[in-house]
Amino acid sequence: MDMRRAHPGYWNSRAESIGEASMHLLGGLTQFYAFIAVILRYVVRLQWVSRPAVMHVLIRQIYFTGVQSLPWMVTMIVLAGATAVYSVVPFARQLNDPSLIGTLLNALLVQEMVPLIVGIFLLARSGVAVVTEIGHMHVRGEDMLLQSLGISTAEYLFLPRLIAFGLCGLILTMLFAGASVWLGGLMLAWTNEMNFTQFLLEARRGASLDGMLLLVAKGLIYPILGCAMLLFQGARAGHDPNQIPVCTTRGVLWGLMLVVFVDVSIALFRSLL
Amino acid sequence: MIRLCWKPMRLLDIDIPSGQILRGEKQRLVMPRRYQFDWLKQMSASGSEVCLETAEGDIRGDGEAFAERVCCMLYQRGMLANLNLRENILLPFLYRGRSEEMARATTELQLVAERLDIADKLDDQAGERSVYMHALISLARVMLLRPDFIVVQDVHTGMPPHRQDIFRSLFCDVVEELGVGLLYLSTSAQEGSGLEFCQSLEFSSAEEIL
Repeated sequence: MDMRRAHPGYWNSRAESIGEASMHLLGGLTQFYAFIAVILRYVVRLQWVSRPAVMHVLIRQIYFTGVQSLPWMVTMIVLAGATAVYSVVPFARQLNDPSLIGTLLNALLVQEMVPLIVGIFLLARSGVAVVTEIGHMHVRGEDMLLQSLGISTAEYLFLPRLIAFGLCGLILTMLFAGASVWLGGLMLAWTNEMNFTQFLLEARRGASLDGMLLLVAKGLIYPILGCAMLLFQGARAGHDPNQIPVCTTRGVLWGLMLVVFVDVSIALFRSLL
Repeated sequence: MIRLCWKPMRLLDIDIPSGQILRGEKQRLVMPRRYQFDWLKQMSASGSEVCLETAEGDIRGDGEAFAERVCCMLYQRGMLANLNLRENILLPFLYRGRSEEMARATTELQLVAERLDIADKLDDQAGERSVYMHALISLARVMLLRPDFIVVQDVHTGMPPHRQDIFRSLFCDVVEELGVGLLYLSTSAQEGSGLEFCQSLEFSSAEEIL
């Protein structure tokens, strides 16, 4: 037996390090909650609507996150979405149950796959840019300039980016789901696998209001949570340029973990209901 | 009578006694740069020790109302890199969103830019700029905001001598025209501003970071 493990000090130090890590995690979560609460307070006040400076940032962020990512989104729709739809039909045929087409499309593609793909895509593409930009602004001391001008960093820097992520995430999720089903149906018709109208009828049969609401909720929540984590990490870069890559990696990983955690929580909650 | 006041403050490892400046007065605090940053941070932090005493009541340093009447000119921190020069100068007006103020500032901007010789650069992206350009943009903002007080942090240092001469002349003229109260935070008593201060206090730390 390992003598080190037999020593009571070994287990004490282990317990201490676990305790420290737990306290560190809890402290981080509390700070994250406080960070989101400040931004939400500004969202609810609605003063940002009448501030042209904030609206300019919002429009620029929507253009970068939503419009400029469209070519990538179309590529993913063709490569992942339509291909997934195309693969569902032969599977349902093998089981001699055409009603499975709609059920599988709704349960797997629309409710699970699409919001996750869009959430991860936004994290990887626009999220990295956001956390780097915020980090650089802190390093250059631009947060101090904003404070000296009486401009709230939460309202001017964080709020428009969070809203843009939510809005673009929702629209891109709906676009991804709709375009994938249509393109998959067209591919099936083109390869004579299935009549397009019949495919749409089957897809429609499997769709439900609950499923659509869940798609909307996930399409909105995942990008917002991911973006909030990225902004939180970006704001922690301080004035040290070496911290920017560290915060970027940490922001993307924690954002991803948060999205997966919420996805699992929703799945568990629904199974309990 | 409007006064810019501050309570005794602890800046890192030194204590600053309370002080005040009247409109039209010029005062200088000489201290290392990190103490200047701490002073500025404490000025705009919540529960600020700095306030503006006016006939309508006291305005604390952590609010938007304070920033409307006390303008800051920071060393190499005059611009946001992702905006153009026009947006940088008009940023406080764009943030407040008051249409009359915005219209006035937009009209006056051209005259201000011509006076500072930056009229042809207004639509250029800020990006990385010289200390001189940061100082000019801060000065342009002051000219449009017309504050009661200016807090200046070492804006004259780090410029080539001929640029410093131009800026010194412009800066002195603007300060005289506006008749503002001025608090100059500087690392050296020879800061090159060309201003005559009614009071100059020097603070030194136990340990300098080089």
